[in-house]
Order: sequence, then structure tokens, then C-alpha cells
Amino acid sequence: MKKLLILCLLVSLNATALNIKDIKFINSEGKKVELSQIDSEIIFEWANLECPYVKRHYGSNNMQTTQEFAKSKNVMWITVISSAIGKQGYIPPKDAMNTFASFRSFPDHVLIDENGDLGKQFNAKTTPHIFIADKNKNIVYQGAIDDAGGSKFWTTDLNESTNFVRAVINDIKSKKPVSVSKTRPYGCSVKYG
Amino acid sequence: MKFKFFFLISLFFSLLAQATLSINDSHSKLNFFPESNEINANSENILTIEISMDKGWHTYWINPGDSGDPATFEWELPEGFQITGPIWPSPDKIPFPPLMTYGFDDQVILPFVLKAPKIIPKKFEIGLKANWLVCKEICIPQSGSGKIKFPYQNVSSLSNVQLKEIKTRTVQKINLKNFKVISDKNLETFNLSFDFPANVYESYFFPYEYGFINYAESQNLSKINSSYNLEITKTTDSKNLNSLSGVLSIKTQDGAFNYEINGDSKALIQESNINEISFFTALLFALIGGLILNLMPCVFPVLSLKIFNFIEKSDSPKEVKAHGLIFASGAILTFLLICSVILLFKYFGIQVGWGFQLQSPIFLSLLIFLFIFLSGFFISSLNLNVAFTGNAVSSSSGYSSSFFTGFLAVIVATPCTAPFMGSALGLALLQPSYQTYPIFLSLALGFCLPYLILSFNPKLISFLPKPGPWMENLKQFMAFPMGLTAIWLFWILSAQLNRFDLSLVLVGSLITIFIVWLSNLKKSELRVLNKLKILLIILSVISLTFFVPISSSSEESSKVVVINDTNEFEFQNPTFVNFTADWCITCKVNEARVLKSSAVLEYLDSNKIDYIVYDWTERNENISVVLESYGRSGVPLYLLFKGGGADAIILPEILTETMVLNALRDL
Repeated sequence: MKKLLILCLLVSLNATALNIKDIKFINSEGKKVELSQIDSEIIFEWANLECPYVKRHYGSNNMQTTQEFAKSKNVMWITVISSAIGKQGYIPPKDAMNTFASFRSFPDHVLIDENGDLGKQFNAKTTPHIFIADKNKNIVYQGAIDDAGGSKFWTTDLNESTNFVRAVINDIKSKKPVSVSKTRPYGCSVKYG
Repeated sequence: MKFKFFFLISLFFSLLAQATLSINDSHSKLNFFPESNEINANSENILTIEISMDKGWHTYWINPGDSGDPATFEWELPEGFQITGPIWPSPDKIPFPPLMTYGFDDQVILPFVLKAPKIIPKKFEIGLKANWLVCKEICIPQSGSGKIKFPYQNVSSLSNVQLKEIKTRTVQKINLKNFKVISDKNLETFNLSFDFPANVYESYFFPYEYGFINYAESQNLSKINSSYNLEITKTTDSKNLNSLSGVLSIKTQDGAFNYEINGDSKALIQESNINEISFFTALLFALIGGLILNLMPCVFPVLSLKIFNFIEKSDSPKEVKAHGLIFASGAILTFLLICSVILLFKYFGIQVGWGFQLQSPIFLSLLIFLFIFLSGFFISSLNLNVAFTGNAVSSSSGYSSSFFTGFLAVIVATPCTAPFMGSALGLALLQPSYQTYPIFLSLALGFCLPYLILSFNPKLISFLPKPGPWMENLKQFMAFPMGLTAIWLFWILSAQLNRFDLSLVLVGSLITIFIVWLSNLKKSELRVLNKLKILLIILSVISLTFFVPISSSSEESSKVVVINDTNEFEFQNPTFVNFTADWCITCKVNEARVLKSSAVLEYLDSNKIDYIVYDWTERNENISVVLESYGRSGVPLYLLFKGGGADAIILPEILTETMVLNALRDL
């Protein structure tokens, strides 16, 4: 079974109360990951390294520093690529970890979701698109990584924009309710097949 | 001479126009067009930016939808100047299932308004820095900057194509009659409801802001009585609709119309709770509507036959009861069948309402034939039951004919909407299907109720007048309401078809009368003649299919132009010119068979070939001169211009689709 499988018993998507604890998948290294077995909070990042928006976030180091911040707070980071085979951004599973490492990005797991199953379950629309699950595996945040989207994106210094992901992590860790739980994701469309 | 001189000057200017501010990037080009070469003090000026992209690429609207970003412009202005805009034109849907984006394919034209102060310097510069994103499958950011010096030496105005593009996409203040936002907290959708004078075939709401609607869900347009209803899916945690803002785009045969909803919809919002209260009201309305339907001129004649039937059999209550039940089941089943068809349409995303049949020229023509046929039968001495079921068994049995009468009664009822019925069905169609069926069932019950009551209470029948010759007279009179209905249907059809197709329907009607006459002939002694008669009837019925118009072909929306100056008879853009007249049969046949065929229309449209019609129905000296210059004294004349002032290619007088398409491809 080289092909990645999402062994699903996925809950139907209800954006406000999405629980993902039943999701299981096989990561790019062939390891089975069951979200119910994970104790920490989880951040899902939809990526496509050829998309200019993602490129800018990686090029400015903004995505990597956000990831480092999450890991320093013991939050798991899962990067998902939902580009279909042959579409922009697709990476063969065996190359995935190395490719991200070459960008100095070290996610806990990379999922090559070439059939778009997970992407469609989450309703991931853009790259980047961020989803954050709390310890009970309820989605508490979905949307953009920061407020740099829209007209000003190409001229803003991304490291100075308001980073929603950091804010959510801070809220969770200080046991406060998440203040911003949904924003408009911005970027390229996810290249589903 | 004078003409030539002018030509040279304009050539000089058009060469200079190449120097207009242009910014080139890898996959697109930005062009700048000022309204005029000079900007006066204390004035408002339109500055236009056109972004033209490589074929197949698109850029985004102010709300890009699920992904992408709109173009941005930074201006550097001299002191006191102000610029507002872009005034965003109405976008197109650019779907990437399962996502939906909003934007512009191939090109977009964005107007800005520049306000000049009271005192301005003689010479000044405006700086522009632009960022825009172009996407095909992938996205590539584009950018550039430049300076524009005023007064502008090199005026290049917008082309007609560009002006047309601006016109069709211009967004106007909403001024639609009865515009309402109808929301229901319990539903996943809300509705924009509005009246529109023309036939709307497509409508879409583009929200300005994120968070109001689910972009990827289709928006369903339905028509209830005279108003349109656009059903839009909310996002799971939708914002308050009070501040809903965006562009409502409406497409009709006559072009596109775009209206701005400005974010202050509070007054327009109508909270409805259709689900909770009105379901039972709807049931009741449907029942009453069904009852009233019996009295409508299109239904009453058919049903009167049923009553006659009861009267004739009043001596056998058992049989009357059975006939009543069978008639009712025929009617109810037909209603449920129609309901299923509507739901099926709805399931496949085709929005239909009651009366959707009347938007189909095919169905309308068939109905017209049916009503004329019925009208003929009423006035003739034939027995309807015999005619339809083909068995001349005595009226004592013929249960199948009772069932068929029920079916027929509902079919003839379809063009009629009784009071109460419209609103009930309107509600029914907005409901989930488990509520639609009961409402239709209630309608069917209301429709049959009088006969059910009659057939179960034979004593009531005795209150009806005794059978007699008056029945035959009344039956014959019923031909007139039927004929009237046919005329009404023809009137509706006339809005959907051109004269040529309409006359086809009239020929079909005549054939229908011929069929009635044939069936009405006395049985001959000779069997051969009888067989011939039956053969003729079958042939006529088959021939009817040739007179049903396949698709709507309302009078052309293309430009009809009056030639004023024959010297200017050349075209800058690729152009197909059609010289025609209403009385020219060849022209009309060519138009119906070839020029209005979807293949040709699509080719013209997708290749941006202008289609110009010169109408010679009423003599026009200027057109005559042009015709003569091509060696013709009359129409049709078909000319194909390559554009850029090239000579015309003359097409033959009788066209075929392949010929025209080949000629267009050779351009």
C-alpha cells in the first residue's frame, strides 16, 4: 500500500463544531497517525510550495517562526498538501519531509492528500489555510495565518502583521476562550483534482 | 480629398496612442486611458485602467471568493487632487470545484474618478503603482508602476468593444420593484426577491464581503407569479443580513443588468418563518386553490363533461361512485407526477416554479395544439371519450376514460393558476420535498373534491338538471373558452418566438383542426376509405412534430443599425453583417436555420466577432446604396469583414451552418 489512505470515519463537516478525533491518516513517511492518540493541540497548515502566497510566507520566514512558536508551546504541527497529482504543489510522499526541511520547516507530520479527501472534509479553500484543534480535537480556529490578506499582502512585512495563530495558541494556553475563531482565509485556491 | 486628409490625421493620432502608459508583466498588460487629454480645474474626470491578460488567465474582483486577491492601485497625486475607485464592475463566476472564485477572464476595465482642485498647475504628473494577481491553474502576482503626464499629448480613447464591456458590467443603484431580502433563521438559505419586467434566465448575487454566503453553493433562481426569487446558501455562521452588501447580477435576452445592494438592507429584510406557521396555511390554500381551479376557463369545459357523465348515469349510483374515484385517482396521480418532475428538476439544480411549463416553447406549442384540438372536439359532434380512448364502448363502462379525463383535466389546468394556488405552490416549492408533496396532494384533493362529493352522494346529482339536448349545446359552447385559452397561450408564446417560428405554430394549429375534421368524417361504406382516413390522421399527427419550435428564438438582441453615411462602410473589428427584411423569407429561413443556431452564435460570441443587422423591412436609401455597391438590388446580403478596414467577403444568399462556420474560421 504505497498510496496514502485516509482511513476515514470522518465526521461530517460542521464548521462551527468540527470534531476531528476520529480522523486517521498515513503520513508521508508511511506512518499511521490517529488523532485520537495525540494529546496535544494540533495545527493544520494547508500548503502548496509553488503558490506565491505560500512562497511569500516561507520566503519571509513567517511560516517557519510561527511553526517554531507552536512547537515551543507543545502544539503539534501537521502540514497538508491537497494538490492532486500533476497539479501545482504536488510532492511525492517520499520527498515531502526533505522538501520542507530545505525550507527550514519541520512539521511533525506531512500529509500528501492527493485525493483531496482531508482537504474537502476540512473545507480547506486556500493555501495557506490554517485550522487549529484544541486538546479535545474540536476545531477552535479556522482561517488565515495573519491579517496580511487582501490588497496589502504584497507590500506588507509579514513578520509585523497580526498573527492569528499565535493569538489562538496564547488564548488556549492561558485557558481563555479563543477570541478570534474564524477569519477569511486568503491565498491561492487549493489545487484539488 | 478631405476624407483622405482626415484619415491621415487619425492615423497619426492612433500611432501616438501607442505611447499611452502601459505596464507589461509576464502574463498581462496594464493600459491607462484618461477621459480626455486635459484635466480642468475643479472637475471630475474618469481615468480608466484596463488589465488584459493572456488568453485563459483571470484576475479577481473586490471580493475574490474562496481564493485570490483583487488588484490594488496606489496613486501619487499632486496636491489637492483626489482619486476614488476603482469602481468595480460586475464580475463573473470562475469556479474551481469544490471552490468558487469571482473575477474577470481575459480582461477587466476599471474606472477611477479623479477630482481636480480649484487651482491646478499647468503641467503635472500622476504616478501609479499597481499590484494584481493573475491566475489560470496557478497564480502569478503581477505589478508595475509608471507616470502619466498631463496635459496628455496622446489621447487614445476606449474602443467600442471596451465601452460595451463597461456598459454590460456597470453596477447601478438598486431600483428593482419589490426588492426584498427574505431570511429565515431556521433555514440554511436566504432569498433575494425582486420583480423584473423581462424574462430572467440567470441571476447571481456577488457579496462584497466575506462571511455572508457560501460561495461554492449554487444559487437557485425561481419564478413565482411575477417575481423572481434567488435562493442563496448562508455560511455556517452567517453574519447578520442587515449589513448585506454586494452586486445582484441579472441576465436577460436583452443583456445583463447589475444592481448594487449597499449594506443597509435593514428595511428590506423580511423575516419569514415559513416552516413553522405557514405549512398548514399552505395546505389550506392549496385545497381552496384546487377547488377554484375547477372554475378556470381552461379546466371547466373538460370537467363539465365529467358532470354530464354523472348525470347520464345517475340511475346507477355504484358506477358513479367508481367513476368518481377513478377520475380522482387519475387527477391526483397526475398532480403528483408533476410534483415529482418539478422536484427532479430542482434536484438537478434547474429551478422551476409552477408555470415553468409556460417558459418552454415546446410545451406551449403542444398545449396550443391540445386546446385547439379540444375546442374542435367540443364544437363537433364527436364523443370525447371515444376520441381519446379509441373504444366506442357504451358510456356505461370506460373506466380508463374516466382515468384519462382526470389526467387530461390536470394537463389543461397547468396554464391556469387559480387565486390562493399561486402562493401555496410558491411556498411548496421552497420547502423540502417531504413538505412539497403534501401541498400538491392537497391541491389535487381540492381539485377533485366536488366530483368526489357528487359521486358519493347520488342524491345531489338529482339536484342537477335532467339530461337533454341542452347538454350538447352547452358542450359545443365550451369550445369558445377553450379557443380563448389557446389564444392566450399563443400570446405568451409570441414573446418567446420570432415571427417565423410563430407562423409554424399557426400551421400546426391548422393541421390540428384538419385532424379534428378528419376524425369527424362520417364512416364510409368503403373500408379502404376508412383506412385511408386513419392513415391520414396518423400522418397529420406525426407531421405536427415538425411545427413545434425546438428552442426559443425571440427577436434578435443584436444591433440593428441605421446607416447614415455610406462612406464609412468599413469595420475595425471582425464583423458579420446581415442585411435582412421581415418580408424576406430566404432571410428569415437563413436566420432561423443558421444565423441563430447555437453553434454560430457561440462562435461569434467566443471569437468576439460583431454581428450587425441592417434591417431593410422599410426601405432605406442608405442601405440601398450599400446593397448596390455590392451588386445587389435586394436582401439577403451577407458580408464578412476581417476588420481593420479590409474588404468584405460576400457569402451566398442561401446559407448553411457549415458554410458560415468555415467562413468565420477563415477570418
